[in-house]
Amino acid sequence: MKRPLSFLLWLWLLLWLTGCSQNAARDARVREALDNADPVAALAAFDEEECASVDCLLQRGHVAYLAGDYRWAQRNLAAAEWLIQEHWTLNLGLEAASLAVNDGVRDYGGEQFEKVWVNFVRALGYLAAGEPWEAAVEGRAITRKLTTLSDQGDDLDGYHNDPFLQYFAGLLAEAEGEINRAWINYRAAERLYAAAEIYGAEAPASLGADLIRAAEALSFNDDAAELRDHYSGEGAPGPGEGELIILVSEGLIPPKYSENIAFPIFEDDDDDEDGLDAWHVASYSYDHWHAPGRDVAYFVNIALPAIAEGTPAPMLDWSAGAWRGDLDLAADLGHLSRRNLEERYATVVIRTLARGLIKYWAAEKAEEKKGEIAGLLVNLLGAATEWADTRGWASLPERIHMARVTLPAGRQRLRVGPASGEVEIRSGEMNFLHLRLY
Amino acid sequence: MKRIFTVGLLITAVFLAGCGNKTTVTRLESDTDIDLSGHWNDVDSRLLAEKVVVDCMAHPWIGNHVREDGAPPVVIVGAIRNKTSEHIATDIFIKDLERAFVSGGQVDVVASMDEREQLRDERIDQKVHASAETIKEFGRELGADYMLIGVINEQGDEEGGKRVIFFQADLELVDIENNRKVWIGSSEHKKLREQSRF
Repeated sequence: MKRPLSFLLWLWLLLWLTGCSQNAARDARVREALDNADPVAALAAFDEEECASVDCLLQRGHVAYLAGDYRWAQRNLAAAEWLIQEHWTLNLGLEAASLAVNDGVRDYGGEQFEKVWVNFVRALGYLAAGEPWEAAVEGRAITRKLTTLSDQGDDLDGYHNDPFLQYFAGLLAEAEGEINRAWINYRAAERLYAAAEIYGAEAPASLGADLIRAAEALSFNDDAAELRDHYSGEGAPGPGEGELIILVSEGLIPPKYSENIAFPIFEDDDDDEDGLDAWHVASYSYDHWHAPGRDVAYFVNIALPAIAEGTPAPMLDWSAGAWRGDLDLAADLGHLSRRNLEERYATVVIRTLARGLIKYWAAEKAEEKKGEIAGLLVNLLGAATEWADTRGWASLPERIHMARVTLPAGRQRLRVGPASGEVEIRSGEMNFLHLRLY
Repeated sequence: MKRIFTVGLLITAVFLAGCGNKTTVTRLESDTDIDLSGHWNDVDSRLLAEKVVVDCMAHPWIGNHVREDGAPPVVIVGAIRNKTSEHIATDIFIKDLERAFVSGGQVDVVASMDEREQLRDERIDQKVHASAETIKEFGRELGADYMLIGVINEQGDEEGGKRVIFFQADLELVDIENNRKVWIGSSEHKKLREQSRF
């Protein structure tokens, strides 16, 4: 009986490890293709995969949008949203398994910010497909989700809201003619942008003008007067002119990686009552992995998630024929990602330590019952399966830059660095253009 | 060691159980009420449409119209705007409203703008291809007296695994000749979605 059981255990581990490495390889292929400004190749990375996880669906939907397949993008992103909601209910079996293996076996329900940013990408998809009324639905979904999120904690003390998404939802509401809703979104964005240390970006210059315009349209004269003391307003577009909201996604969100701290505990560490020697050996072993003449009692491997360093934000400008101007940084997703991880880090550490103890207990028991070799095998098995949960929406940009500008009506070709796109400026209307700068 | 392997086997079983989801398809009657996610669905559309049309036809505007014109009113269902945070197929809701009006039998319902274009193309085609005695004449369309327009709104509240969703359809019947609103009504219903944490 022992052999079939052990065979099954090893087979399961092999299959599971293969699955995880496939995910990592797919993420790497997607990011490499996007780095090369080739979203079609990025989409091809999913060709042989049946996406059944939130991270896979988010990425496939996102790159489908970037590749211009808007229907496929919406189907994937809608499926991701549904799965995120389903994963709110914890799978007890997988939760228990994660305490014996690693956090990667749990259902991935998406980082807090990813759950709302999915609606941003869906809105972009609808705008690109020429369905602004559906984009407006996404704007309302953003507002609803952010309202729920902000009920869960102080939004000036942690990621419980999102200034850029509030602003974006306000722009969609204004484009729909819902100026009162836009005003509420703009006000929320203004308040949240003040907490740049949490959200990673300061208010774009256009927000002040939008607040003034909305206050005037709603005859909130006192508010308008107060806003004019702080911001400079811009008049409405003249005859034969329209407005363009330029949104530029730039870079790739810094990836998560597993930070492993591995070191042996030696047999004679028990004699070291003050623990100083153990600390010394552990520090030394972290780099050298051996201590001649000493027997290893247990091999510790702790893995915690970390986020790679980001890149510095570039200064961007736009041009459309004779017209040109600057773009403002509006959102820093690298910052949001780090912030999200920081906020749940204590929980991750506690789970990791609990798992470490369970694995240690299993190795001890194996050694006690079946001898040293069995204990060593269980120890190595535990160490080999220990890595951090690095799943995430890897195709997201690192930052969003934006501007709200007035242009003559008609077809305009807009350039931002090497990226360009055409947009029809409809007179007296708000128009949107999203460019991806790779 | 046996216990450890047993634990391994149990974990394998958990994973295999997760991989072994079987898809089944069951044929249902189209009026079966099923709510899976709490989002807007065909049941919301049908129930709201039926409620609002019953209310609409119980009001005196029909009697007033019949008294003045001596004929049942002709209604066209115009645009219904979706102002919720869900993607609602308003076409289905419009069809549900038309069906409820026609089933009520008190008003005549005429085709929408897109449908009329299709019908006019058909009449043009008949002029060329149909036999003389079956050709349908131009200029005999029934002009609508009233247009039904409106909006679907949503109000929600959410915490933890509970979400209350309140859908409201606000509709107005407008006299096409003079823009007079002859009836204003609304129909609403509330849904509670509960999801357990475990």
